Amino acid sequence: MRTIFSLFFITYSIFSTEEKNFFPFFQISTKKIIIEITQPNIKLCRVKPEAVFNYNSTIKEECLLVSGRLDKLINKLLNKKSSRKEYLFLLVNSEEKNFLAKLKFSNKEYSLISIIYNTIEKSTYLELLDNESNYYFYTINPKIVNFKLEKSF
Amino acid sequence: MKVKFIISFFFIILSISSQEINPDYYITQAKKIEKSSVLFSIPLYEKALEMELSPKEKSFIIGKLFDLYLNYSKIEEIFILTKNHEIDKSREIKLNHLYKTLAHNINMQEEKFKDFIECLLSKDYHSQKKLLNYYAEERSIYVLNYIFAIKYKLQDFESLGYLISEAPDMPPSLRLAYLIKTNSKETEKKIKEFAKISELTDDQRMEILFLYGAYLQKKRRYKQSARYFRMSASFDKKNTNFAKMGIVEAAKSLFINGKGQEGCELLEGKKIQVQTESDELLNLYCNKKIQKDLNKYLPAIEVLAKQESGVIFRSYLQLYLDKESYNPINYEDNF
Repeated sequence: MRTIFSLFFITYSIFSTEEKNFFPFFQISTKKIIIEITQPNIKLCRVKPEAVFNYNSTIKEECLLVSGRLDKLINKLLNKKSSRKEYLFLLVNSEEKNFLAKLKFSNKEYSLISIIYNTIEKSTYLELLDNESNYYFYTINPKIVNFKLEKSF
Repeated sequence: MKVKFIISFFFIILSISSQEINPDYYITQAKKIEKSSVLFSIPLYEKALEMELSPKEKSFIIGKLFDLYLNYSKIEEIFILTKNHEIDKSREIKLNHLYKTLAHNINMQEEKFKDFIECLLSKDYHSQKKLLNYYAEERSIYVLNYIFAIKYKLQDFESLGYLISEAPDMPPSLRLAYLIKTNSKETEKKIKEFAKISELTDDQRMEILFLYGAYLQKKRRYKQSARYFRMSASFDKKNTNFAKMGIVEAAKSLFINGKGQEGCELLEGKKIQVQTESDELLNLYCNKKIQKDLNKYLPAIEVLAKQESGVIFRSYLQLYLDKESYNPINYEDNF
């Protein structure tokens, strides 16, 4: 690993007013998040990944059509008998391809790559990309996340 | 898998130990390696310097290390080397010039800067007090960077602990870095606490996420570490032709986790700005045309693997062990 304390790493001050928010900045703290589903028959699938970031080849284990609150879907999809440290969930369309849904918070739009549930921490994470392909890994309360299906479905 | 790894690593360590008897081995290997990778020759010269040498050999290695450190701007190493060993006159001139330049860069008088560095290289209580005064007088992030960089190199955590306890306004990033390095139980709590500070700039967010990635890597939580390193790169707004630091470290976490190929893909074809031996390793590993060259550097990788921060080198040796019928004596065949 790069030496954290190399003379050339930290080159600026991080003196700051210590005014505190309730959550660290890598936790989404908004009241409600809507995941927009723009195609019919989108499923949330529990998958077994072979890589950490590349989800092109995953083994689908169990799927449910999306609707309502994320926490309820995750609960149904968790395999209670397994001793995995984390579960990965992907949105999948009717052609069995990964579906990148859009969601907004803090006036910014993101594409949802995956949802991760860590069984040790009992934490849920969203893996997101912004429109410049920057990657974000946010902790979230799954109770505030809702799927919004287009009316025509 | 774990048992296999332990047995393999034990074998590697045994193999290395059998070659430690003779400093000539390290000097010969270093000279060969230096022709194609200066960075990988450094740990071999350093290893030789730890051993019993003739005055001529010693003088050669000290001069060589001084030049290599200077070429790679390994400033901390230069200070430590020249405190412990005498250098010749021509290098003494170069050292004085370096002091002059560095003092000028941080807007400090040359004599004061020299005194500051000398104080940094001592571990006694008197020096700790003096350092605190330097910090109080200068209040400069550059002074702090010198303190942390050199004290870490010297593993002088007692002095750093003293400074942090006496200077509560120390920047959070440095406090966090100290907690990570000393394996403090408070680390995770403090990282989250600092991340709650409102109005953090992108640079500050990048730094906190990077440190969190480093913390998780140390805890062997490589997947999570890669994710936070990658996210740190999203707050890195510097535009260069090189891969961002967070991406490079994410790739290293993936490599350690046995997913080296995915690590290389994460670089998206961007070059690594090689500053450390682990950068060099990843750079060679991710370049298919020269990947095989890595085997040439096994003597250096073995030395690096024995260091506390050598987890990526231990992973490479494991990978090599899985691929080949590993026999350290066969290195010569690779040249």
